[in-house]
Amino acid sequence: MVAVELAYTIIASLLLMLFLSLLSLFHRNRHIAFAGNVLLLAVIAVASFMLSIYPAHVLFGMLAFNAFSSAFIGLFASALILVSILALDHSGDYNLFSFLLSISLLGMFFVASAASLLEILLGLEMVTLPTVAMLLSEGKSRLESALKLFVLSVLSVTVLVFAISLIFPYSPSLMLSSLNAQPGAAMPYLVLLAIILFAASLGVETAQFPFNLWVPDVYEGAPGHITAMLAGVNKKVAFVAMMEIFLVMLLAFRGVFSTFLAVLAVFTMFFGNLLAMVQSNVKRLFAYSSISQAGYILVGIAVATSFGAEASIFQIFAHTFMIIGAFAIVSWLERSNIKSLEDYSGIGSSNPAMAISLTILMLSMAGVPPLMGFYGKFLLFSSALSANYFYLALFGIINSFMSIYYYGKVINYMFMKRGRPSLRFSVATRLVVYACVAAILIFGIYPQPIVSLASAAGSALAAL
Amino acid sequence: MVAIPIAFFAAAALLGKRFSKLLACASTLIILIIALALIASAFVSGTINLSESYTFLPSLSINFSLALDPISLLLVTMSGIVLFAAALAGDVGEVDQKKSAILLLLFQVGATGLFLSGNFLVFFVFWDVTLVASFFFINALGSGNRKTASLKFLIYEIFASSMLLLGIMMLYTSPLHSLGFQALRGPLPSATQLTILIAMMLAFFVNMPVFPLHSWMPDAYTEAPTRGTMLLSGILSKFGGYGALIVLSSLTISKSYALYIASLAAISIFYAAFSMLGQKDIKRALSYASMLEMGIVLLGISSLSAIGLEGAAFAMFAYGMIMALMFLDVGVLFYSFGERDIRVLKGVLIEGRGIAFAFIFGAFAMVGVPLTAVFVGDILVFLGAFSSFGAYSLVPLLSIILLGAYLYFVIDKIFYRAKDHSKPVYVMDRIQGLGLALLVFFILLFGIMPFIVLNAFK
Repeated sequence: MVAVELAYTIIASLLLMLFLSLLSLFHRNRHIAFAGNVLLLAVIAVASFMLSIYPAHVLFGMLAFNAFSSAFIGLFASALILVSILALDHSGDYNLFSFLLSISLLGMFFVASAASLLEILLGLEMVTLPTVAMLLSEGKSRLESALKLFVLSVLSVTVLVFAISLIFPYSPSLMLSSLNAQPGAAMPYLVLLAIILFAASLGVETAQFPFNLWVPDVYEGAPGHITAMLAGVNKKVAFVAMMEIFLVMLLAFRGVFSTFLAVLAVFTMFFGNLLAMVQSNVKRLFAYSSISQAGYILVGIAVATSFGAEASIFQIFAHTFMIIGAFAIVSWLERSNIKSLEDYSGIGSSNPAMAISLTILMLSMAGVPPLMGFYGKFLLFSSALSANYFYLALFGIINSFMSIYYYGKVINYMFMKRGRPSLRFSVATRLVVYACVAAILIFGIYPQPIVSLASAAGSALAAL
Repeated sequence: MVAIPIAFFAAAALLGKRFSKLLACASTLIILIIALALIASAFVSGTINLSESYTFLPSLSINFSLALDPISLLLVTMSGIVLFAAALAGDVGEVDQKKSAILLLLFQVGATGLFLSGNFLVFFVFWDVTLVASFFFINALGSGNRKTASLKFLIYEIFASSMLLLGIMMLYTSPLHSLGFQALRGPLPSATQLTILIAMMLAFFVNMPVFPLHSWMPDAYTEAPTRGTMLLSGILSKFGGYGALIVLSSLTISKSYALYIASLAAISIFYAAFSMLGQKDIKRALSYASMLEMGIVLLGISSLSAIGLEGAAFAMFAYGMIMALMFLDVGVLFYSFGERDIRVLKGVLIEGRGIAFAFIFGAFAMVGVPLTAVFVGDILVFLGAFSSFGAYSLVPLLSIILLGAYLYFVIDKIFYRAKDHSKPVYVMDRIQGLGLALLVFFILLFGIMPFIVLNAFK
């Protein structure tokens, strides 16, 4: 069985990575830790993308390997490669960072391949707490954002535990399989409460509207690679958990939660876009833009069809690359003290390659074809229309139109002619940015691989 | 045909400054020659209908399909002519040759792809490619007020493309589950049809532009560099016309809304004509003239009769070349005399004969003097409108009198009036003369022998 061997390869690489990075804690040399990390992450990514074409199976009764889990393990591993390259630029303790990174990768692995609610809970905790530790290890200046992130994630986990305990009477095994809703019977109000609490708790992590006030502060206060990780990876892990909980476990109650999530999605989109319009700090602008993107992704989950899940999965892939690339550029500029929109004027002449890259990334976020973000939006809003959520598609389109205003503003400032000394980006930043832009362009012009991966993942999710 | 500009675009982006103009000219010339050869073959065989389809997203049943019918052939030829003229001569006073050539090639990719597209997804992709190219034409290469103008352009056009996307998705998620142009003819529920009609018409009306949605246009046309304005008014505004033609002629419910659209077209025509009368800047005045002409095109489309649709297509063909000619001429005029204000310029004829002749020819052609291509387009449009809406539809003809009067006034004021005439600071190059002559030649050619292309419509 090739599939089982691949699954064991992934598990072995994960444990090896944890072990190696634990060893490297006692050494100074950061390059060995870096090389080992990237190599093992690449092995994990390749193995899991290969695994996604094999039929599903469950190991040890708790690790579900199917197209859904392997697609996301692959995505997270490849995104973490980019994050660990970005971290090289940073002067902090790299070996500690890589140790924490491997713990959170283990958490992501648990969430993506979860077969029960407990694994989701455990995994989410293993993803967020190392991130808090990463922020804390950056010194006192990051204390504020670390504390905010810590308090909010603890709160979210507490609420999640409460929601799980509410669902417990209806699903004593806590396994991720659909709850039975007696047709015609009244909706148990405990389940209703649980739905709301699930949405609230995961809404904190995925930056949905009323629960996302921490996002801009933490993103702005964190150093570049951690911001990229928070926006590009951690948020996506919570989305994976959300899909597993809502689209598998609570699918029988879709009539209830989909309206609820749709309203959340609309508010989130408007909140992100309206506040992004008035930002003058570019990093905050991107933080708000990533909030609005979270709203778009939620559209697919709210629709609660397999087409919607597929669309959300595609958009998660697209947004991961877009936001990591964008934060790589923005954070590098921030370290050269280029922060506000006014500071950005003339980047186009001082470093045209980076200005063009950022333009491509922003156009993709705004949904301009032939870039990856366009297909994500096309699929998301089509899925909303095909499930008869006309207003959801309309609001989504209005929002993607509104977003062009602030992206256009950034582009306008960047290409304003003003003699500026030329700016050099570090090799690591350039590598990450070019990788992201290449992904956006290649999968924008030829989206079939990601679309078929997403549709395989979507149907695997439905089969769970 | 789509692949060639893409290859040249990549080449121009990678190669140095010296080759950029050469590459732009070569790419546009090749496309023009192919288009003319296709026209010749269509003339010989009497019809043309090519289509190609590649699997693109099999799991979503979306194909990358290209199709060529008489209307798209007409518009591809027009865009080939305009692009070649713009590549050849449009770079008067251009600051950054390389950037301009790259954007021109990107625009060419979009324009050629859009007119050849066989389904709405391809249409939309190329629409946005062109949009980005045009945005950077204004933003990076435009004149004084370019930042505001380009942002305004971007916001309006992205609004248009979001509405277009909404329409496309309505079509895609309808029971037919198809993106092809002919799916619009299928049995769609009338509520869906109405949504598609409203969304797409909003998009196309912004793009053309039509009266209440036009306010991006004067700024964008005025601030864009000469090459950019030629492309914007000559080609970009025809996208909306082409799309409106496809959608209105296919949807079954459009008959009941035709009268409203025709009235909107008439309002737009008169609004443009009266706004034009008040302009001092020739470029700004011409941008209103371009709006007026798109109003006439929309009138032809809304007639929904065979002759009116044919006329609208031909009028777009003719107006594209005319507007490119006029804007190129004004660009050269501005570069030569450093002035565009009709109150200041005097006696241009004395020292700028080429400019003056081209302008006077263009003015005649715009008004629709027989033997120019516009005449053919206009007469077909008004015949079609007359057959659908009766005598009222001839009222917009009055606006052409206004247009003629204004142009007469301009010619009188800036080209004659010889007392202390304006002195040029720069004499027109031969290559710009060639560009102007090329456009004049094609306007005359298709004016004298419109049957070359109209034959294929039978």
